[in-house]
Amino acid sequence: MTTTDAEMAPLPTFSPGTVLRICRVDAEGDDAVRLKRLGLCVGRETRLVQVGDPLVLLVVGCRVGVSRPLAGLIYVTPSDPTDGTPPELDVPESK
Amino acid sequence: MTVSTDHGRTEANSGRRRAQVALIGNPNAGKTTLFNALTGLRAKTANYPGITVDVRRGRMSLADQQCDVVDLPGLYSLDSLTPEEKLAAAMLCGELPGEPRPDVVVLVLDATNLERNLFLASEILDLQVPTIVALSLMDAAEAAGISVNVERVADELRCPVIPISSRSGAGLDELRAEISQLLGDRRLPVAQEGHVSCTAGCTGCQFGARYDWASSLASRAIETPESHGRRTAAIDSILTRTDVGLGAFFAMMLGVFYLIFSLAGVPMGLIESVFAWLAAGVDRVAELVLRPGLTSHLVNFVTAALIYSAACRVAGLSWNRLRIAIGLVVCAGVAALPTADFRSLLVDGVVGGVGGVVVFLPQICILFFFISLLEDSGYMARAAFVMEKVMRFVGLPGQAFVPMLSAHACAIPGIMATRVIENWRDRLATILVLPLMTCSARLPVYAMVAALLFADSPAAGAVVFLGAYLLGIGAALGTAFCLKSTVLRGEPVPLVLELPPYRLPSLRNALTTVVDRALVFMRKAGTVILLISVVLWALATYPKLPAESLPVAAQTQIDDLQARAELAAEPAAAEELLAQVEHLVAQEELAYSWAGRAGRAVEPIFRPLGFDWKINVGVISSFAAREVIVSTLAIIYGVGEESGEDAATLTETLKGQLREDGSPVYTTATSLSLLVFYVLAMQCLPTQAVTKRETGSWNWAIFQLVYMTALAYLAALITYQVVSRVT
Repeated sequence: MTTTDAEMAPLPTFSPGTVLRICRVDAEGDDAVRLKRLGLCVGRETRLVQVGDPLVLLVVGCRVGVSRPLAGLIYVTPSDPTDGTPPELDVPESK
Repeated sequence: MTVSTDHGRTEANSGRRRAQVALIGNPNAGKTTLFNALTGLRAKTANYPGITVDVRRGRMSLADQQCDVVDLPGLYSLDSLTPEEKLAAAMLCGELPGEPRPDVVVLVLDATNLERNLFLASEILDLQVPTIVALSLMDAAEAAGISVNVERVADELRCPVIPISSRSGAGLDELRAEISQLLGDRRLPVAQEGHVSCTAGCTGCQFGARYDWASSLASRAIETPESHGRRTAAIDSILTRTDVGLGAFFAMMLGVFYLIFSLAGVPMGLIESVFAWLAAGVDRVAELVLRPGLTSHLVNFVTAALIYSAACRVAGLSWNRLRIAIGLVVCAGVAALPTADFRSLLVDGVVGGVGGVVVFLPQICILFFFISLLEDSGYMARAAFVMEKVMRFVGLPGQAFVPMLSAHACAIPGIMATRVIENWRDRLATILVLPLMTCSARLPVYAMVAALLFADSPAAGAVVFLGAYLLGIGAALGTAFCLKSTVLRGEPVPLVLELPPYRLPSLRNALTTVVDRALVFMRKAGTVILLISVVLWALATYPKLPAESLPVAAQTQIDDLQARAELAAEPAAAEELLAQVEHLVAQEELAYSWAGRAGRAVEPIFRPLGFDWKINVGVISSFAAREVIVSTLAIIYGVGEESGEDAATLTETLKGQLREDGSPVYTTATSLSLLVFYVLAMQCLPTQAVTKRETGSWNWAIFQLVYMTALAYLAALITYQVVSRVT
């Protein structure tokens, strides 16, 4: 992955419909487990479906609601479909 | 409650332990539907010693044997956070004391959502327990156009994979056959590759590796059409939007409550009639069978013993020396009662007490029916999502609203439903404030006050009800805010919640849930309320009023009525007059009893609330069951218990009551004060018992009693003092 720290941004700063790749998760302890076991961990792709508080994400084929402060601890970059990474998360539309 | 240590798992004759099959899977994966399909009605909720987690266990018939099936709580991963998840994980890993590892694990994977479900699958398969994968919701997958290559999945997972559709029953026979075979040959799943290599790394790496594997398998074995998920997305675009979503939520709740109250009316009336008939029947039989003498005392003893054992049985209590000793003492006491008292005990205490509990079953059952449908359909997650911000404002998680919803039928199942709340402090705060929500038992009191204030205007009466509901909800949220800001300070758990796809809910699941919750209510509430009803019957009956102690004024009135009865031209008129005599006597008897004296004794305490000693007797009696105040007031005001049913008579009588200084008792101020008191007071011992069980100590239950009583007193005091000055 060629992203640098400067290109990462917290998840809620993006607009709905963007497909994002998770670079860093700053949550700790139980919060980290909650995020990771629903698919919000480093390396996964996610689509931001709805902004607000809580916001709605699409990850590993599921819709997940995450409270905004917690989502702010997830750092992402826009996922570029032309960078050669195989689109593992081939979810056509929100589920 | 003691459960036999092996949960009855040993076959009665052979002594061979029955096989244990555990169902595991993601929440919303169709696990419970499958469990219900496999076990039918032969399931019950069981408890593990020392852990307040209820788990459903049932019996399943295989070709060659019977086996026990356990429906473990849903898991996203073996990294567990809530008590339910910890129990499921511990059981799978064989770490539950006294509980062996399951012989076979049925891993339920949702075919419409396979990629996410495969994460847990990789962890479970690593446990090296004989495993069968049940691909559930195949019918939903087909309907959505999702095609699953079952052979490829089976190849990759290297364990049996059975496609299932619990609704239609497809695949269930194959599943049973496969379980039977696996129990015989105990094949272990072949160790999975690709992610096991990452065991020494950080947790994130492990997660990532498993997800990569899941994605890879999903892309090779599943074809999902473009249109999949559009319906859920479309509905969610309305229901999860901040403004509209909240509005839709309130509309939904109002609709559910409207349905509950309109549908429950008929069965409740039916139950009341049945119990009235039963009471009359018991009275008649007692009249015929019981004659003064030794035999009647024997009959008393036997009847008491039967009722006591039946109550213990229903409550799920086993026999130990203490309980037998208590039983013998109680039955001996009852045996010593004179005939007339025993009859009264049976009719008013026992039948009346049981009837008072059973009459609320329709509302409770209907509410849980709808809650189950809403959960099954996937809507409840959206409701928690939408309520998150409101709840977080008072320091509670969004999920806390489901128990609050349940509490509007009865606080007891509501308190048990708080188990979904992960954080202990949040859960405790919710449990402590839940009884402030208006439960079914308060409604007859609201109706009485509404009639007192606004007998002619149903619209104004409805406002009284709405106001009372809102007061309860407001008090609960406010108290939660205070608790979370002080004693139970701490950030609420942030929301990370799966929003499952919308599905048609299962009627069978709903009905199973209703039966389960109804039994819980009867066991927990029914037995305690019966006990308190009997105690209060005793307090209201003894000491007995000696004839010479009848107050002069009352005696004069009685003499007068009796004289008029004798002179009455028609038998009907005579009967009416004699009934009045009975009411007067009952009134005086109640005033003379311990309950009546207690009412007088606390008069100075409750005078600032506008209550007089007669209202106090009603309030004291409400500690058995809140709605008892209506019939108690009917007795104490001399209109007879039956008039408790007839709102008009009781209301007229109450309105006509005067204090010693000539001013009316039931002014607007007193009526509102009484209403406010009942909205907020803790008058339910069964709820306290459940609080104790769920929180692990009586301290919190006592705290709940103290703070709610103080709150009710203060609020009623302020209401009375302010309103009496204004009106």
